[in-house]
Amino acid sequence: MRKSTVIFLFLAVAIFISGCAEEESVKLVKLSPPDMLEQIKIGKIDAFIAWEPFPSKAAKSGQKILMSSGDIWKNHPCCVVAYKVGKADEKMLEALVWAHVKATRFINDEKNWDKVVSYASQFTGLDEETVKMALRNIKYVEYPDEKEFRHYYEFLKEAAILKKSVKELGYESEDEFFEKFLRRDIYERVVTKLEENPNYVPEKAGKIRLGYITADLHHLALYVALKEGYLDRVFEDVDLKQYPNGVAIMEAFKLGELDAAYLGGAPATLKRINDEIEISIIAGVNNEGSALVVKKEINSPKDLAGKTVAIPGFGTVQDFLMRKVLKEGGLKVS
Amino acid sequence: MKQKIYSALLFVFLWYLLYFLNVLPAFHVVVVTFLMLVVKAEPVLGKTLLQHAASSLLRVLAGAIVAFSISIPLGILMWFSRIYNLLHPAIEVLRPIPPLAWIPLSYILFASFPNPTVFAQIFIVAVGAFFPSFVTISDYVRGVPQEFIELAKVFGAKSFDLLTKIVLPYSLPGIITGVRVGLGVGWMSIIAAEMIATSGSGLGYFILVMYEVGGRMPEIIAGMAMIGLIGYSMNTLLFKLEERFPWRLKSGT
Amino acid sequence: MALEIRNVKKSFGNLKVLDGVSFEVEKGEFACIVGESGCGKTTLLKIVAGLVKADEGEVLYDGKELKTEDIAFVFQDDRLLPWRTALENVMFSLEMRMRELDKKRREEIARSFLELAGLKGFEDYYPHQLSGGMRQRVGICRALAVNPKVLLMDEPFASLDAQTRNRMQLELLKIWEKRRKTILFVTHSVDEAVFLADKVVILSPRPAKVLKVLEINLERPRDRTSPEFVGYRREIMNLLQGTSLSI
Ligand SMILES: Nc1ncnc2c1ncn2[C@@H]1O[C@H](COP(=O)(O)OP(=O)(O)OP(=O)(O)O)[C@@H](O)[C@H]1O
Ligand SMILES: [Mg+2]
Repeated sequence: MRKSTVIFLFLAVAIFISGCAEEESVKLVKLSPPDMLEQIKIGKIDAFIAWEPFPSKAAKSGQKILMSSGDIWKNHPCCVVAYKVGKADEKMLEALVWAHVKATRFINDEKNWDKVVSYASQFTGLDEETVKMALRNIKYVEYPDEKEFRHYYEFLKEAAILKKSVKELGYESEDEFFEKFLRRDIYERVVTKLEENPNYVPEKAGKIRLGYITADLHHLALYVALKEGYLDRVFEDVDLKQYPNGVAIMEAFKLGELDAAYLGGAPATLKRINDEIEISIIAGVNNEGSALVVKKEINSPKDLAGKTVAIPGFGTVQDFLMRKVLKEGGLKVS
Repeated sequence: MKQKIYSALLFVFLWYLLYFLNVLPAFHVVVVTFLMLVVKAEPVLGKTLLQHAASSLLRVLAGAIVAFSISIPLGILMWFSRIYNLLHPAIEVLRPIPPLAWIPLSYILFASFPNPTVFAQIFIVAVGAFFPSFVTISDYVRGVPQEFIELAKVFGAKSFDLLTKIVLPYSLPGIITGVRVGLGVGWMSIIAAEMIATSGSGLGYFILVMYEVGGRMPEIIAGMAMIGLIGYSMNTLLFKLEERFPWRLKSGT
Repeated sequence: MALEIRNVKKSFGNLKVLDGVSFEVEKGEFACIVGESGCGKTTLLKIVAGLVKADEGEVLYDGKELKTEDIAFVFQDDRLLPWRTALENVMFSLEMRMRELDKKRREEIARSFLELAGLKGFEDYYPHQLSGGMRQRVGICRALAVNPKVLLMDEPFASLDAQTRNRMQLELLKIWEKRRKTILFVTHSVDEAVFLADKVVILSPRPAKVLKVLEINLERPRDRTSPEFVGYRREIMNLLQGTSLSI
């Protein structure tokens, strides 16, 4: 009794001392982007970082955009198209990449601006003025830059967020891992065929189960591919599934619910390694396209000391960007 | 003591069995992870396990104080049959509602508060701690032996004397049992509430985020061990206190 | 006349328990009540204490109604409060009945009674740390401390072994000789009644009536083996014949 009491009391004291010793650092909390808008309004959080269109929506309702993600890291890769290795066959992948490239080119074609704005508005449920603002912050791409992409990996590794090394996954080196993880060959094949024949359409595939994130303007290409009929031309059946964030999509991959999905490159990398969920990236979706929204009184990243900042999830692109901002501002996460 | 050592050895042995079957991480890895997390901040959330424990404990304490400051006096007042008849049916209907079922309602109730998540969590703990403590205390109070009442009456006790000199001291071990059981349920409630709400800290939040980030089974198990350790400590301390009352009614641990 | 029980009747529903019980006890007298189990002795004592209402009849002290504040009760079970020490248990009756006294004075009185009962040094013991006989003595102290006009005792020694019981009887007599209370003492044991009482009230089986009030004219301390003692015992036993009293 006496000995155990001493141990308990010691534990209790230790817990309370450590609880009180909270230094001046930034508190990261996880919130869904719609909640971020609500909570910054009522003052529960001081800042948030999220994908478009939420920053533009916040800006419209009186919040301040401190930095766009392009300011944090120029041309950073963001979302990608990934597939579950072993689930999807080559025919299906070629069809998907084709539809995605067609849709991305549609979006990037100046002629289609009005149509793109109207699609974006339908996809996110926001007015055209807001989506126009948001669209300007997003760069829709067909394939991410491998060098920039490896930047994520280095960061995750350095921050000790990655738990395993690529060796533990059975790769000789990081180069070998990335060769398998970033599969460029399908994209290149499709592009070459399109160059030879702009009217090229791949062979029709069967059913695809395709995941994406709710109201994430980054994933506009998916919506365009659907609306412009690109997907219907190459698939007999398209089963679309919505998820709240990239981590949830990776969980769905693990459970075998999906053949392919649009998701952030960071959670894709993180969960690929930590949980050994075997996926590969077959196309890029966008660069940049997120922003850090703050309350009016915050004027620089340094002002975030002691504040609460919301991120859409741990291990997301936005978490990554936020940590980069904090690191450069000399602040710690708590 | 020998028995305890055997039981611990068996536990570790079974654990390694599961490790070799690739179900769990190795026991020593979890132990090292636990010790590291106690002293060193975990990088994703930037907090040590003790800091998360402190957050959870503070919320439990706040909720429990709210719960007990109602359940103790109200439980004692249940001695009066009129109050008992008035409250008993209502309590019996509210009691089976699990604390977590109060979450949506509590979010609506506290939506306009400065920190709705924390208020809602404290509220959920309070609901969780209230019912078991109230029921335990009122059971004790209702069970005050008639002999003691008769004795006090022979010597001229008034209603107030009966309450303060017989009912209250007789129910003291019941109050401690109530506090113990209430804290136990409150502790489970806060861990669960943290896993649902985006609370930013706390052991429940910790293990959930560790799951989401992935590849962190040792961290998750270390968090669970901390949850168990704290729950066990609270229960044991109060149980030891309870055992000092020779007239306590026997209750489960 | 000090204590008068006049024609007390009591029924519980259809069960007639007391059927016109009458007897008298002088001031400072030690009276024992004997009767078959279940005949209504406890009921009678509770009526005298004012804990139970009689259907008919009255209990008078000096010609006026006897009130609860005039009596003190020693229960068959010791009925000590387990959360109070011996001293605090004795103080309990003082707290209830002598509210004008300050705490220090109450403690003094309680201590003096414990000393009288041979419990000096056990003041701070809790009931579970005391023997059965000691607990009974604490219960007696608690009753005596409030200086009652009448002390009611309901088989206080019934649960004790024979040896302890005999010692307790002597102790009780010692205290009684010092304090000279009017005592109404219920017992199963004819031997106990003859050993203690100035007067034995013998009740019939239920519904109880007084069969006889027998004066015991023996010097104290009494010799249980003397022919007179045995004679009184025999007389009472004969009156109670057919009942299952212990000898
Ligand atoms: N509150 C009550 N309600 C109904 N019946 C009662 C009540 N109290 C006593 N009785 C009945 O009255 C009768 C006398 O009971 P009482 O306790 O006075 O007997 P007693 O002479 O003290 O017996 P014992 O020697 O066994 O203690 C019993 O038959 C009992 O069942
Ligand atoms: Mg009786």
